[in-house]
Amino acid sequence: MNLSTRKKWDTAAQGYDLLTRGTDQRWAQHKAHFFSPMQGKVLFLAAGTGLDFKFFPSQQDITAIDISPKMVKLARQRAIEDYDGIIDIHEMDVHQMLFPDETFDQIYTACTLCSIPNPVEGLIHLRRVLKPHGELHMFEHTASHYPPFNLILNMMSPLMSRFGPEMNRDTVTNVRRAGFAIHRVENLHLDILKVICATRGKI
Amino acid sequence: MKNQLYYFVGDLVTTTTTGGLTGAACALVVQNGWNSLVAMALGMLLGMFLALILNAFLGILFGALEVMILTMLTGMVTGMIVAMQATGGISFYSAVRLGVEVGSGVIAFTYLTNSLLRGEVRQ
Ligand SMILES: C[S@@+](CC[C@H](N)C(=O)[O-])C[C@H]1O[C@@H](n2cnc3c(N)ncnc32)[C@H](O)[C@@H]1O
Repeated sequence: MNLSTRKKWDTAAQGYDLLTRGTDQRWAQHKAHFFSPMQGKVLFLAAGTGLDFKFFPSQQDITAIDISPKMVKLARQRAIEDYDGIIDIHEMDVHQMLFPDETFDQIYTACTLCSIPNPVEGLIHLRRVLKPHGELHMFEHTASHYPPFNLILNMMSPLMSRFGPEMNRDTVTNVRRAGFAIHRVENLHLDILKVICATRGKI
Repeated sequence: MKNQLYYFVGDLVTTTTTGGLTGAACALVVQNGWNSLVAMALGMLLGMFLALILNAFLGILFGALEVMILTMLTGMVTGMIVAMQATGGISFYSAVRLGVEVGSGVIAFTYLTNSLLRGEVRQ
């Protein structure tokens, strides 16, 4: 387990809901739409404090993971209070997942590929636990290809990543590099906030 | 649920506040007769510093990512323009007004670019 990542997100857990309050509200409609196709055996990376649970379609049976014990504690509480289905939350590093190969029909991520230490490696592990015809659905903020937005994200990233996420990861390229076949990319804000849908690709 | 108008007004408040404050700070710090390149660099840094502070508060109200882009862009551009003007002398009022104008320009530019980039991307 990556202890420095765990420590960073444990520290962030305390103020997380307040700092992400604006984003949580501003992206609410997009997120509700994004999570609406959830079905089958679903893995959610990463739970955070569980702010996204309210957007999950009702009555699903979902497995969630997160590296931070403090995030997991808050998320477990939210899973009971905010959700009418089952969310089984594990304290687990995406780079060392204990699930057998080809376990999940769908994997969902939300603002997480900016946060895990090795995005391509993490995605390769996600691909391992996805069934052959399974789907990867991602709601992520990424680098921009256009000035002046790329300049701002590149400047902010070293500062932000001390306390939270990296701001300039090329997640679409990372998904491809991990072997997934991308079916859809939709820009939600500039070319920074995106929905990415992919399948496992050639095995 | 908050609607589009709330966020538009929020974004406008964000950029005009950042622009106005950066303009004011540049007018107070940069003196008549300074080297304009030094003034521009200092103005940009001042704008970025103020943007970071405003970010922390306004992001909670209007969304951290959107606010970060708007405050940083407004802070940097306002800082450079007003600081350069201040090397030839600028009144406090004009500096604030210029900052607010830059803020309005930034929101127009960002919304226009967003309308061009938003939507499905061909693979
Ligand atoms: C920006 S937060 C997003 C949380 C949630 N998805 C949301 O949108 O509110 C990133 C999350 O990724 C988790 N994380 C970071 N590295 C991880 C890893 N290697 N394995 C599992 N989770 C990780 C952090 O603990 C944190 O909760």
